[in-house]
Amino acid sequence: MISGHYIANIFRSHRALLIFAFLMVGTFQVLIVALVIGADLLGMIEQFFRTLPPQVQYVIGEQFLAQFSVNGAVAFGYAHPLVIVMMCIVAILLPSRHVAGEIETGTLELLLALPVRRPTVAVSLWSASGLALLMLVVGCWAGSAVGLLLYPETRSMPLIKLVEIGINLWLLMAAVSSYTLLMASYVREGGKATLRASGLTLFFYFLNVAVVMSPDLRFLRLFSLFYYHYPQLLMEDGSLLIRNGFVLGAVILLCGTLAVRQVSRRDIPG
Amino acid sequence: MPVIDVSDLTKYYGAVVGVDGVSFAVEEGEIFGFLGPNGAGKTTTIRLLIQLLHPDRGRVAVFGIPLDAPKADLRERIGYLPGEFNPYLTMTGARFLAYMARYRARPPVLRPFLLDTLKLTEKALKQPIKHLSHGNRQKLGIVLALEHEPDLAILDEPTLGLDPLMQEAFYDILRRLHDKGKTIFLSSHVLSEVEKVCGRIAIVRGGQLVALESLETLKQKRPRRLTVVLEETDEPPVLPGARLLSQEAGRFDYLVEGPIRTVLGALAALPVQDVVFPEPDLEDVFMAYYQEPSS
Repeated sequence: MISGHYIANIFRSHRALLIFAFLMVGTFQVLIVALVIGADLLGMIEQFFRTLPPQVQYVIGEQFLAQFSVNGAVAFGYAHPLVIVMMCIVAILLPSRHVAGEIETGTLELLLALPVRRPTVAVSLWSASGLALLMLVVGCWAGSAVGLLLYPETRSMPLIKLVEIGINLWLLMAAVSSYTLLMASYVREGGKATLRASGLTLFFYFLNVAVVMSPDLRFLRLFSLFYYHYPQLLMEDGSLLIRNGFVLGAVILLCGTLAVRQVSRRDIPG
Repeated sequence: MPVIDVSDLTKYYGAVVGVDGVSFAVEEGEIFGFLGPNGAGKTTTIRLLIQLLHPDRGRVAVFGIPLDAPKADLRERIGYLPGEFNPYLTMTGARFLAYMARYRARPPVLRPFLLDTLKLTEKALKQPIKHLSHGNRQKLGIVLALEHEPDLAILDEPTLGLDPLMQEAFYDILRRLHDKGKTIFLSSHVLSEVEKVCGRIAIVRGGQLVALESLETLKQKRPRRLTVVLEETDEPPVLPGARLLSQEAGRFDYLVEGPIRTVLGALAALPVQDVVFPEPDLEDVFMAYYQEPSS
């Protein structure tokens, strides 16, 4: 059901991007720890926030500053827009390029003329995306671990929490990757799949922002995937991982299964 | 038992016809030509055979096994070259062949022979495919399609981009496979190619099969040209079953649509100086079938 050759080929094709993303998210986590310990972080943050527009201060400041602590700041590294954007690029690029993109270029036609089954291709791609995202989460963990080793003052940090936060981040990104795979299985142009998946991801992200900004919209928060990844809260309440895991896991399974079914049934090029 | 057995195959793209009610069979060890103008339905038929497309109606069996049967995967025994061969451009030719071969259980036993015959050098194989000429990419496609010595080769416009010398080399490869009893399904619009290697041909037009014959039968069935030079007359004689096309100072060109015997009988009574009865040209046959019924 899974082709090792196929997965290896995907990693090989995107090795530059994956290595760059791995180093970037890892380095970023080291910097976060260094900032927390090595600088007067709260002072710096307050100074930084004064330079932001009032609306942004309202959106970010209320939640971020209220929960600020050493643990909270390290956790924030797993929800920082830079990390989220980097991981979304990988989560969206891989499925859209290797289903719709390969239909567009004609390489999928060549591959499917070989004795390889369509579900195998779809499941392998799904797995490759999941593994690539796991690699980036491992990058985050490695960065946090290096940071914590460099600064012994942080040894009180419960490492299990970082593992939980990393798992939650992986689930969020695997969900993004799964609905991208589903979208890509219905179109024949890689660009179109990328655009649609990026649009939906931005919609979820800004829906979450809108909910934070406007209490009247709080009832909509359940419909944003980003609501199910809040590392600072998870640092305090580990049971949230079960709820988040249930919702994100359901999205992953549903979209992934539908995508595999659609790849198996569709016409190529169609 | 036919290697390919297609019955009432129908595929529409929305309201646009891909193929409609196509039926034919290809016997084992046959080189079967599949001809038609652009948009006639050749590639659609091939993609249906490879299971890239799903038919709206009809039945396809390959090696006697219906393609819609559960777990019918016959691609191990099939070699396929698409009409537009698009490999992974960033890979080198060597890596591309190695990568694709990993999906097959059959070893690439013919690869050295094919590389040698098609003059695809080691140097060319070490280059990224995006730097290869169109001809070399096409050779790579031929190697990929045939290197595992498939029992059935499905080739869509295989000589596209090959120079005449390489085309001849390719025909030699086909003959060699044919000698080994392999079946070849060759889609082409190159008439000379079909004439050289195919035993039987099917012609499609507008998604429908308009002819399915051996090459010889097809030639004999179609109208033939006849040129008659008569002594001392500018008046064209009336030949039963023949239509006058042109005339010039005692030289008359006809299109013979009726039995040849009748025409020859009529000619015997005339002061004939010369008769030219050329070998039926496949192009005439081809064009006659290609023309829309209204024209």
